[in-house]
Amino acid sequence: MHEYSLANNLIELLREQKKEKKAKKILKVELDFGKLSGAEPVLFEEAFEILKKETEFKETELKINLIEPEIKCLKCGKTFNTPYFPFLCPFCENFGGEIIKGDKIFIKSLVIENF
Amino acid sequence: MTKIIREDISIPILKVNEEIAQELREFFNKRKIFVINIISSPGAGKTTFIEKLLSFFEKNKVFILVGDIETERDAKRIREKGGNSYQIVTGGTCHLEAIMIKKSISLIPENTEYLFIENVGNLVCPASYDLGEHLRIIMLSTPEGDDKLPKYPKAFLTGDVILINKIDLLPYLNFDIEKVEEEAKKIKENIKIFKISALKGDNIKEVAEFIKNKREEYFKS
Ligand SMILES: [Zn+2]
Repeated sequence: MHEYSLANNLIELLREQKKEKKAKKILKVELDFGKLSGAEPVLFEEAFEILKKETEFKETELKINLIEPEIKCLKCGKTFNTPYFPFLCPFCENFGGEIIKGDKIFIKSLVIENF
Repeated sequence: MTKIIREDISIPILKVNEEIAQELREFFNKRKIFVINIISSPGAGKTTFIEKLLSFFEKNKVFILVGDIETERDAKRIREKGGNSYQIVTGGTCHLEAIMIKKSISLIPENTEYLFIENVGNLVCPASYDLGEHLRIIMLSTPEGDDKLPKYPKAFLTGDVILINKIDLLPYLNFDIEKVEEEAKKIKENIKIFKISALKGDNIKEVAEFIKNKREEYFKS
């Protein structure tokens, strides 16, 4: 249930970016949303839509790209995608591994309108 | 003339938390304070565990921060057992953030060697927030059922230690402890598991020894 808190973080970062880039408006924000981020994309979107109304980002469009987890096998070193637990390496059938992608949410791009 | 452009960036949404957590870790390292973040569902027994654990540490070397949505109850319980503790009331937030810890560090006494952080009772949200800790403990308790690992993989994945609490209730429950251990190894091969009863005091000493060794190991290098 921390999607509100995350959406708030996004708004803060948008403020920072807007200032830094001296933008007039941020028209669109695109997120890479890891499936293992621990947050629900639908709830996140809802939270952002509600929170943005009180801000200068009323018109900012949100786009979410869901990112499949990418795991690096600790035994054979190969990487593989898997949406399911446990992580089973398809190459050497070892369990476990290190997540190298898909456990975080990143701002990937902004579409901005300049003066 | 206005101009519309697209800019590719890569900023983690938790950037601010990550920066503060890093700052905190540097502060803790300088002061040689070993920090343990304890995460569990509500009612898994974190407060009782900390109360029992305290008896294996020198009281004046331990400080406890307790995160709670709105009451002061848990910190009070710990203080009654002779621990130094302070409650962070999160005002409705379901997890602790690095900034909340930062605001409380001035309360930590000079000679503190261990800081225990009792996170808000929740297995989902706290897992995403680095608090600058050195060790992350995930606790589950037998009455919650033996299906927690596949349900909340993120918490267990980010943990260094799993505590299975309330093992004294095993005879009365349908809880397959071997299955849980096996699943834990499949999520993270090198995760350390302790089967404890905070209420009866079973295996708490072993956990305390483990934590002490971890601190020694960490600050040796
Ligand atoms: Zn492999």
